[in-house]
Amino acid sequence: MSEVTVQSEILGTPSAPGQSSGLMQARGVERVFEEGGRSLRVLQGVDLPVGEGQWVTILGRSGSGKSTLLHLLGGLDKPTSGEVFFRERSIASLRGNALNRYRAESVGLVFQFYHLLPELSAVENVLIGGMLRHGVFQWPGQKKAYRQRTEALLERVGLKDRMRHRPSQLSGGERQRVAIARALVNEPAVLLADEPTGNLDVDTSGSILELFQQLHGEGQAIVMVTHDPAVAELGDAAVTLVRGKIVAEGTGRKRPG
Amino acid sequence: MYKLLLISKYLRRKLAPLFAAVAVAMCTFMVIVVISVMGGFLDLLRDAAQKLTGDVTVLSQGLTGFENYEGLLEELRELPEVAVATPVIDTFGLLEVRGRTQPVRVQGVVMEELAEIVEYRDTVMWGNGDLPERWGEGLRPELDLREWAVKLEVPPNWTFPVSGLDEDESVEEADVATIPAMVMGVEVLPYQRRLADGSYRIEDSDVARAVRLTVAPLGAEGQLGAYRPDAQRFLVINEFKSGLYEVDKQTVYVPFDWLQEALEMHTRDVWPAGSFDEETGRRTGDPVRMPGRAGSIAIKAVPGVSADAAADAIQPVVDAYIVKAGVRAPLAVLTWEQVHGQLLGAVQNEKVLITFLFCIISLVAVVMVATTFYMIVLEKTRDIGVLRAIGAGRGGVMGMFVGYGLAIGVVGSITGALGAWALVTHLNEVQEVLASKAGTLIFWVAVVVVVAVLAAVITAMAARKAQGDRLGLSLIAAFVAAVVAGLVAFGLFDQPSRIAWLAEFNQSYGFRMWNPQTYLFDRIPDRVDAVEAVAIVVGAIVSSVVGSLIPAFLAGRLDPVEALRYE
Repeated sequence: MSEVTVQSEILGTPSAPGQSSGLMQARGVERVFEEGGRSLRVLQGVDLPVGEGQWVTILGRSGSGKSTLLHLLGGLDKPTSGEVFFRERSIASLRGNALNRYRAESVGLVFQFYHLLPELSAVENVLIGGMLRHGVFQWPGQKKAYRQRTEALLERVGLKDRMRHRPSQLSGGERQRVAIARALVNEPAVLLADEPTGNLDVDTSGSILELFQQLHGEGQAIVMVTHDPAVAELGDAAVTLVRGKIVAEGTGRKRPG
Repeated sequence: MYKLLLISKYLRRKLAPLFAAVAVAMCTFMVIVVISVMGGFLDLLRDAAQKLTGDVTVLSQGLTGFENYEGLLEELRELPEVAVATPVIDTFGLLEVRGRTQPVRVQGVVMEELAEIVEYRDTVMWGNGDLPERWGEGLRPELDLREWAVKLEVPPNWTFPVSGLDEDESVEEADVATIPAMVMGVEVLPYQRRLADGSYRIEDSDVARAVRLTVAPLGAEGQLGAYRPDAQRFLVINEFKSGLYEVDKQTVYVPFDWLQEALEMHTRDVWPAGSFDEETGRRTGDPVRMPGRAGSIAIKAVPGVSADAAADAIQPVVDAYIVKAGVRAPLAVLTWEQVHGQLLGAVQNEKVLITFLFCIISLVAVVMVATTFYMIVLEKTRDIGVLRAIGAGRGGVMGMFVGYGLAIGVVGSITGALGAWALVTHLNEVQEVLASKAGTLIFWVAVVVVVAVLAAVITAMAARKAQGDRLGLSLIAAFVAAVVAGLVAFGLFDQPSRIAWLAEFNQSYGFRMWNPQTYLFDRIPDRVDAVEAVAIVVGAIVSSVVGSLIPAFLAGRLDPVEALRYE
């Protein structure tokens, strides 16, 4: 109970997230992992609405289930019970190619450890998102447009002169910028960012968050997982997860610009 | 499209696929080399067998031959499928030369006809194949056979032995026309020295020497005929080399008419037993006419008609003739492949067996690819998770690894096939270098390696002090030094005759993988069968794909969340 109080104090008065039109929503989501004959209940009846263009921050300590929730929103995992809806359609009902398309087109994932493909250059790491969206026969028709979009994205994230570099030749911050560009290349409805600054120093984190703020200012919906309450203040809404339950909801304080 | 991009990147950036491609290349290389050499060996054997036998043989089962062969010969010559047909008698005899007697296989032939059937002109060691015309004349002593020694190495001081025969074996000029001629296999007598490269050097030839041949005549029932105390003298007018060692070692050709008469297989009158007057000892009654006999008929088909087609046309003629002429001996119509079936079949079996064994060994490539891919899947687990997270499907990931296997198979097998082609087509040259310049090569490689290592160490140490790019600089320096050292070493050691001990070393340690003194043929078969090579390349590609299937399946099944968390 004390934890709830603490979190509530940090976040201020909980508001009702999703006041804009609904983009995606977790409803009564539970996720149970079976491990060594034991059931591990990671998420318990989580409800989370995300509106169009809204920035929702999921706060919580390690093991609280925030990354699991993000994976469920991104269609990487399926809830044991409950539903995840994207524009009123249940993700659980998606199978095979439909699910792959959802991951490629509707959401853009950004990871704490960047997860770039080491063999590819920055440009190629971004372009591969487009390749995944379009099949081998459609790609030639799309290639030019994607090339331009990729270069524009990399220029925007400040990597104009680093496009041909491979991840091993880039700094952590630069890698994360490439990862953000990759997530944006298919113009997804929502960016799902799993502790995007968790592996960066303070200055670099600041610049990455600034980038997120800019994107959000342009209407990009963002769901960001973090354990840093200060980051939560940048978003429109925040929820705190403790042992798989949302224990507090609130709004961000610092507005972009 | 992302699959192609990643496959091309993985192929270029990782060492593991390089090893897998090398394994595939080595297996492809190995199987193509083995099949080419074995197949080439079989082809040489088949060529030699066909040259030796003609297309079809009508063969009597036994040494006594078959009677009334002339009529059958006429009928066969009228067949449109038959170009040339000639009678042959095959028997055994004792050859005496220079006081030494040895068994030989004697073939009585009409050489002018046989030469049209069995490529005789290509096999003679002396002259350019114009000897059949001289066959009836025997050899004229005044001919300078030195000019004929086109396939033989004749020492400069060697004199043709016609003028220096032993007294009891010498052939008077006047006798030449009366003594029948003989052509013997080049290995029959041990006086031609076969050199390491397969050529022959004349130490002392028996060409133009008189030899004695004894054959045992058989009656129509196979009984021994009259004993002939005087063996027939022959003049050896040429030697032949068919390429089949057993044939070249045992066979002598003599005129058909002589052998037929010597074996009492010629047309003659025979008085039945008891048909003589006991008081006077004179013959009584009429003699019985015994028809002439031949052992077999060698046949060449007209161009464009296969041996099988010719045999099919000949068989009914032979069957009808057996009935019509009352031929008692069973006759078989055999193609050249059937005549030499035992030898060819054995080599064919050997080829199939060795190919099978090497294909099993090549399964190593499948295991190698599977192992490599499993390691790659483990290494790439997180990347697979990323790909799945950003929209790649299970099938896509699986397809990527199968495509990766396909690419490794294509690169490896084509590389291996090109390498095999390069080696097989230059196998004889490689052997020659290994045999004659092994020492030179060892020195050359040793000098290059030592200089390269020294250069690499020195430049690496120097660059380390200068805080430069150690590896790149030292490798470049080592390469340059090795090239210079190689050129210098090659210039120095490529002249082993100048350095006595090196020449001796080469002589002692020269490696000869194909000894023509042992094998039937003096050259290693050096042809690559394109169809077989393509089949092997396709097999290697399929093997690579099969090897990648299980790891690809495992990659496709990876859960994206677990893959992203993989450490």
